[in-house]
Amino acid sequence: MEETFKGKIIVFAVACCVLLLAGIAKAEIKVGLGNVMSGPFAAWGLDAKAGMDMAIEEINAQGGINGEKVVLLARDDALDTTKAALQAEELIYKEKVVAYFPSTITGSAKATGPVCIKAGVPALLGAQQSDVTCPLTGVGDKPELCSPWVFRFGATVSQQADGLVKIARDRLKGKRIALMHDNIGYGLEWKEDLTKAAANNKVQFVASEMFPLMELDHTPSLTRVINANADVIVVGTLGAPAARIYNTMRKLGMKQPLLLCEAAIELAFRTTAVDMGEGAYITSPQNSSSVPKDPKFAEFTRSWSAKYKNIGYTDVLTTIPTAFQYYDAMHYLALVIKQHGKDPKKIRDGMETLGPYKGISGVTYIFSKNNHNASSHLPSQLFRFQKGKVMPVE
Amino acid sequence: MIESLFAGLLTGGIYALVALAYSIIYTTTRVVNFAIGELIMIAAMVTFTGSALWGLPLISALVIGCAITVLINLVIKAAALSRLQKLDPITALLVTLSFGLLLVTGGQLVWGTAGASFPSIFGKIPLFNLGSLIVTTQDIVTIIIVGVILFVVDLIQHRAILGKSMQAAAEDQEACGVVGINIGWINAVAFNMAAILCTIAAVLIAPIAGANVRIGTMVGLKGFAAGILGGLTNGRSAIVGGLIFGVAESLSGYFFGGESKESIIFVVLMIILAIRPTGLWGETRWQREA
Repeated sequence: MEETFKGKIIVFAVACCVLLLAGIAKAEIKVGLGNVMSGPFAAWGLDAKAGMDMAIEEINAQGGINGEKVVLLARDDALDTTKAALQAEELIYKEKVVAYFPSTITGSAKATGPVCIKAGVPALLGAQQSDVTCPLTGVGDKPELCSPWVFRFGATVSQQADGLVKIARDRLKGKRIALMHDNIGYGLEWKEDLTKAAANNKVQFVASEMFPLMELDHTPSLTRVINANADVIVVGTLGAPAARIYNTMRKLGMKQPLLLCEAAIELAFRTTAVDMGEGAYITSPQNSSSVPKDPKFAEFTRSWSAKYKNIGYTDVLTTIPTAFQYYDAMHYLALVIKQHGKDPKKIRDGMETLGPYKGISGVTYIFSKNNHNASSHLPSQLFRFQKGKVMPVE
Repeated sequence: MIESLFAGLLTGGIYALVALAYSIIYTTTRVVNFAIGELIMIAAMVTFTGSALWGLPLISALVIGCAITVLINLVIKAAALSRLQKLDPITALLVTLSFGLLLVTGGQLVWGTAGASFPSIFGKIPLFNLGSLIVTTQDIVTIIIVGVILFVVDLIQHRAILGKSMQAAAEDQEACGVVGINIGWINAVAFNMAAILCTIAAVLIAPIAGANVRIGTMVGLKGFAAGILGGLTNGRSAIVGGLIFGVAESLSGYFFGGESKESIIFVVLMIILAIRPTGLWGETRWQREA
């Protein structure tokens, strides 16, 4: 009898331990990230992950959210959209992430969005991206692509295209503006949006040149641009190809202002361009200055370059809009969970009602029930590369 | 137009080097080494690492880059020319293709994807203007180097005993063995010559395109297309093919714009191959035997 009683006590104690351990194990908040972290575009995904890692370290250092640690479950989709969708399903259904951060790259983000929507898990788009993932016009225009579950922190390409054309015309005094873009989806989308923006702003491009992403020498295209008497050249492409255009312009002795889209802010532009792209212009709705005035942002960029020096972010090259958008998005999510709990539905509602949120770079993100594009109100800012730094043009 | 013509000749010269690298290996071993583009990348990235990161003089870094490229190509040779080649040339081709993918993936792990500016060994001192194009020392030295290398390789292929041994190896490797030609050594020489050509191509391309792990992909592909255009079975044809390809690509870009230039050049290639399947001056085995 006594032995049976002892046995019951042991079973009860073990059960308590198991429940306690299970409780401890559950005391974490899982968030998912699917992005490209290998292959030619790896830098974009790694920047995003680095930004989220940094935010989560800060959140956990302060005790987590309501006492629970945040855990990032990151998956490399290797730019494979099918893989991206399957990984999103795994993170949502198996790992039970409370929110999902889709890829920086439009195609993969587009593939994972429907998975989040179907599962009822908030999707937080950290990067500036194509309109197709969530149209600027607001929720509901394209219900299959944009839904109450998708939240965009970065500006759309069309929004930036409008700013780019206005800056080329008004601030760089372009009267004969030429367009150059690459032949992949990204460049083609820029062409489409820039052409629309030009028409809306009563600008007509005097030349429109498409080039292969890995073009060695841009002499033929730029000779056509010269022959068209262009006085400003607007470019929609990534960092390295933009650098090769810059290098060929130097070789051709061209003095026209070169105006780049936000993507060219990646390291590859400055590391590939002669003299680190001295004098080239770039636009971004984000505050991308290498010499931030805000002490909090300055401290962030210092910590960033100290932490990620091994992947090439030195003091001079620290300008990482993708990273700090993902960083901001993670902190925003943490605030929402703190106030509303970690149920995905409540997170979704909280995302819409948190109110204006000032990000690390100083920009303010605003979500509402009718607007899931938190950067839609931000104007494009003009920057210039000077001695490897990105400096605001006053 | 003169600017585009000059730029086309420069890139055509580089394509010629790459086409010749394909041709040397193919004419000796009947294997198409699809890792040529990635060997160019390795040569560029190792040279960059030695020079920019380890602080070595550029020439020393170049020698190291060349040595590593040669070693890797010898590994590819060992894999592609083992029993696989005798089994099926397609299998050997797939082996080289796999090595190429492996090199790119490995390159990304080692160097990342950002890329870097690559210094010109000869500087970029402006010499004179050609239209609006500023011709620099880099351009002139590129022309000289490409010219000298192509001349020397041609001399080896057509005048030296080594070249004749390579041609003999291409005809019948077993018969060569019977008459005392060391086939293993001849094959190794062919792979080494190709690796050296890749290194030279790398130091000529990298100052233009920057050092990055994607540098060799398109150059390798276009060099191969140029070799096919001229005819891979003949070194001289491959060289002329490279020059024609570079100039045609540049001029079609100038006349028709970037949107259509690649389509135009590959359509022309297809038409030529439809008429002359062995390329403009290439020979088939039965033609030589006749």
